Amino acid sequence: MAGQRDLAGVLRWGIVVAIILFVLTLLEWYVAGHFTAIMLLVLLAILKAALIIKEYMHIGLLLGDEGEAH
Amino acid sequence: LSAIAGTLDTYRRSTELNRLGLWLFLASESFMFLALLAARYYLWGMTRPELDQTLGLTVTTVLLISSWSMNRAEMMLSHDDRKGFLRWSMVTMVLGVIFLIGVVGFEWRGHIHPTDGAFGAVVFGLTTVHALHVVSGIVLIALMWNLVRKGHFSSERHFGIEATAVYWHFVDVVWVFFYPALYLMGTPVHTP
Repeated sequence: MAGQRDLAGVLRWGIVVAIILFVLTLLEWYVAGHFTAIMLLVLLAILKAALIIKEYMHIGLLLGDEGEAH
Repeated sequence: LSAIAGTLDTYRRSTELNRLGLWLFLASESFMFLALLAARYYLWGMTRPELDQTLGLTVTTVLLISSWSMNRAEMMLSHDDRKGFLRWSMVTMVLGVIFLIGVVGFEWRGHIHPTDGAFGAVVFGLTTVHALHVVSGIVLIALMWNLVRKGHFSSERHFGIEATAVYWHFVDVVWVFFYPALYLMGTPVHTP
């Protein structure tokens, strides 16, 4: 579980996730401005949502694969 | 010691049930947001109104940063860093308010109005329902902030904080789909 890992490491990983999300958002914005690629935009949105659900919402706790409960 | 361990075990089991209830609630919310997205694609098809791109990217970035700060607050409390939680949950609330100012204060005062047919209905329908969720998220965080300030919650017992954080991230996930649907997908159509 995230809450039981070393705090500094958990916070560092949170920053990495935020940066990835920001880069994907910039990519979305760039793609929409230069191409007509609806499916790519859908894919990027799904990727961002999956990242938030896994890393920030800790869906693993619900599925029982992140160890102890919060 | 065995009594404390027993209490913690009971709390852990009730937390598992509460967590399931929370995710079922979010699943039910998802259907409403999916219906709104379906309305957007049905009514607009491969077109969209000309919305302020800079504003769209800015409010999206603000909401993403707020998810990061909420995660940071939750992780700090789960390590008994109460001051850290109070600081970063406050940052999250401020970012939520900035997001609302961007959408309600600026986007709603743009050239699209609720009476502008399908464009107005979808823009205002989607952003209003989402903004209401942002407001309720801010209220929840404020309640948790006050409880933590009064000494509630600990590293072992903080499902209230977890639920609030998960709800806030859910509101962010909804916007992850609303942003491209409103601002990026389709050919921009000039509206008077």
